Amino acid sequence: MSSSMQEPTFLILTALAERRLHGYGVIQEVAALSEDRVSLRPGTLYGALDRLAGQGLVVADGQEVVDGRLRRYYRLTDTGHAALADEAARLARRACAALTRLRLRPAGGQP
Amino acid sequence: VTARDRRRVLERRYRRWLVVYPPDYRRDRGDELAATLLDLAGPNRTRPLPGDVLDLLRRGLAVRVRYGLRGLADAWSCRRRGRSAAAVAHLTALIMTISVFLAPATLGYSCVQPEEGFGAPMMLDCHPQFGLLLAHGDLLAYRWLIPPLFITGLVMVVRRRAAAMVSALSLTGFVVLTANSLGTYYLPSAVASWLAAAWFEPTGASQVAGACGAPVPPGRG
Repeated sequence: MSSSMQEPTFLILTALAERRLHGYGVIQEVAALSEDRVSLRPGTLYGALDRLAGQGLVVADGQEVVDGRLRRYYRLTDTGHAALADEAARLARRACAALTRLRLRPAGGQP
Repeated sequence: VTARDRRRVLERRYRRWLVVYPPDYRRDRGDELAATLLDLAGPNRTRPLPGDVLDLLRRGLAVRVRYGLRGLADAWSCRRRGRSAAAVAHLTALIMTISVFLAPATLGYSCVQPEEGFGAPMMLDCHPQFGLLLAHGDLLAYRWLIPPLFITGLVMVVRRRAAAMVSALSLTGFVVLTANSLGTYYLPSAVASWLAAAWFEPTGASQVAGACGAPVPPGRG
């Protein structure tokens, strides 16, 4: 992925990085990952999943009915893993640069 | 009232809002969306969260626009007019609705330019003259009802591709007519036509989705 990713997209991909999840699972995981700053609404989540599936980053992976409710699972594709790895590396470089500059700042700071 | 009853009430209310999504999308994703909405709801909730409802309206409309555009592209590239007629009808109606907001000044709205205030040079204050519709009392005032009623009736009775085709033509014709003479009634007519087309859309969007009719799984593109 050439341009930088929106934060919700990054969080959704991260939520799915380790194992497959259903919609509700993704929403919970995204909330946890973002320290409750990002709470996805279902319409938005499925809109994003449609888009990511269209880009070949995410794919549906099985379904089951629990307590009368349909749960469809999603997982990352190989392309999805690669896109997330790229983006994570980019963010890490950026965070690293910020921390380095903060360390180099003179102890007293500017008046 | 048991917890199960409350769930059922909430589910029914959420599902009512899911009709903003195209029927095909709903068939594929409706159960899953409803399940996720219910998973998120607290145990005592019986009314949908307004924020969730707004979100559904926004996303549902976006999916409808996407399906409509895809149907139009399909009709254009493959000339499969029979199969794409519904999508085209749908899109035409949607364009009518949207164009109301884009070109009010050319369509017989009463417009004035505010003389002061933030951004005044770029603003037109436009009002579709709904007042006329009620005050005159003559039947001509209700002519805006003709196209949507026509389409609704046709699609309900026939429910075939031919009906969708005719509705597409009538909508297109109506755009031309309204631009000249019926500008005042354009807005209600456009909205009503779009609702009629969207509601009774006879051909599923997935059937017209792929290039030259190859079925495409929902969520692609």
